[in-house]
Amino acid sequence: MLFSLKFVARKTGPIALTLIAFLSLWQILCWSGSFPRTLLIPPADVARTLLDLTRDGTLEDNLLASARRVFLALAIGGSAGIVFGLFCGTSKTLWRQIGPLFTALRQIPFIALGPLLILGLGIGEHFIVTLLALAAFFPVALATLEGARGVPTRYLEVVAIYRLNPTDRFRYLFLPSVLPAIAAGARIAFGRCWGLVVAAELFGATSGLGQMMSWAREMFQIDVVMAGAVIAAAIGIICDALLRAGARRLMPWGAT
Amino acid sequence: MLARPPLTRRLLHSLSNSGLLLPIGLIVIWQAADRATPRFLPNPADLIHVTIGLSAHGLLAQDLLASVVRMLCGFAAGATGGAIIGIALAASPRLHTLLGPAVSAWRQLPIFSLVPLLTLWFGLDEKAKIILIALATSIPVMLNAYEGVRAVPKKYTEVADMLHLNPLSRLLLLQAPAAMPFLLTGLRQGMAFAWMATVASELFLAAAPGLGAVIMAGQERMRPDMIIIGISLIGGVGILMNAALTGAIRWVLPAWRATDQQDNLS
Repeated sequence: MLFSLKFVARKTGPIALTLIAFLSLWQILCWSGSFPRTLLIPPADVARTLLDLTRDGTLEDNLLASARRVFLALAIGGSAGIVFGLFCGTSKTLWRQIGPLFTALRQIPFIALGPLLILGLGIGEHFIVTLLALAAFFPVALATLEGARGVPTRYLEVVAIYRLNPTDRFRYLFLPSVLPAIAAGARIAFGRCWGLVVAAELFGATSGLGQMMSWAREMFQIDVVMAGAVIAAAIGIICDALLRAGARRLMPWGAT
Repeated sequence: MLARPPLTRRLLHSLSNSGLLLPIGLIVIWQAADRATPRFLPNPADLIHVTIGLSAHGLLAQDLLASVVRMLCGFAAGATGGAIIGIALAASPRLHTLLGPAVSAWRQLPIFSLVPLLTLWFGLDEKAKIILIALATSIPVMLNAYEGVRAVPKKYTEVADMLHLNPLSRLLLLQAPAAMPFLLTGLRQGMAFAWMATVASELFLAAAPGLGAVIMAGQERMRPDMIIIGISLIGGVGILMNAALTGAIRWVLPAWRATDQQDNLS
């Protein structure tokens, strides 16, 4: 049985333990009185703020705005990355020309592009989505590239023996090798984008999780800032786990 | 005697082999296209001109030095802390059951979402910047140190059990050396993270000399040329530092090559 009680307990037990340890440490720090209430507030208060923010729809609106940007960026940057990776992974000549530039560019901290994009596109959706799409492009491109290149030679030999036609070769050899790589790249791209969207919204935006936090910081609403950080971390962690589990379920052969 | 191919073709060939053809071609096209289009981006010749102008009084050099020093401070603190926590977590079974899930969760923490919180706690000046850099560095270093110690081959642990090694000598003789390749990979990733956090801290926290400040000044004065110079310097310094660290590591530990390939993705 997949979801036996024992299995669930073994999976969730340590996580619950860690959460409890973390929350009690936080609470003890608050009780100790060494931090003023303007700087550190107890977990229960953060939970109450989270509830309030959820109830009046603030959290939902801002979260959806951030999520929409990340989704658009992943769709645009990710598909460009897949196309780029497929071309460069299958053609050595192409890679010899583009490779060094690609490797140099992917080491640039993308956050530095923010001000340039703002000058070019103005503050708003366009600059955030462009910045995130750039950040999503590189991990997906790199992963696709390596997946396309990494078809094991002995499989190629088997394919040669069976004289598979190009369609079957694509279906049985190429796709199974590339798809898990793309999934892994997409997971990394999601992590980058989710981290970057908050930062991009700090530059200036009319909505979004980062905007909510930076506005609350100026108002010294520490509870909203902490609630925002908790939500951003929780969503990052949960989505990564879901993407990982989804990839494992859909492509069990490419388990990483 | 064979006639040598003409100079231009040889030049083209060596450029194409070293992968410089595309970047140089793009720069040439950029310079040429600049005449035709309405000017938003400055052309490469302008950029060189402005760079020389900016660096005339040692301003750019001062910014560059400030950024690098800032990064190194945060990197040193974060790498030390991260390595100690990672090794301790992996070496002690009790800590591992308690904090193991937290370790894998920490990996996904969007570090920039902490910027507003950090500024409330530590202000906007140098201290907050270095804390942000150290935090960013510590994540990959800790994770790699942790994985390195977890990956000690079982036969070695069995030998250690047989010899009744005490925890300290087990750590020094077995776990630390085994974790070393992973740790060095972590240092490399940590340096990339540190550089990113340095730039972010200079963009979001108080203005002080630094390459991020060059970019911000460019944004305020509507000077795309200054922003592009800032970005190029940030990219160039990042690539140079990564190459230097990789070279140093290879020199110290030739065996590191084995795990060199694994970190490409993360």
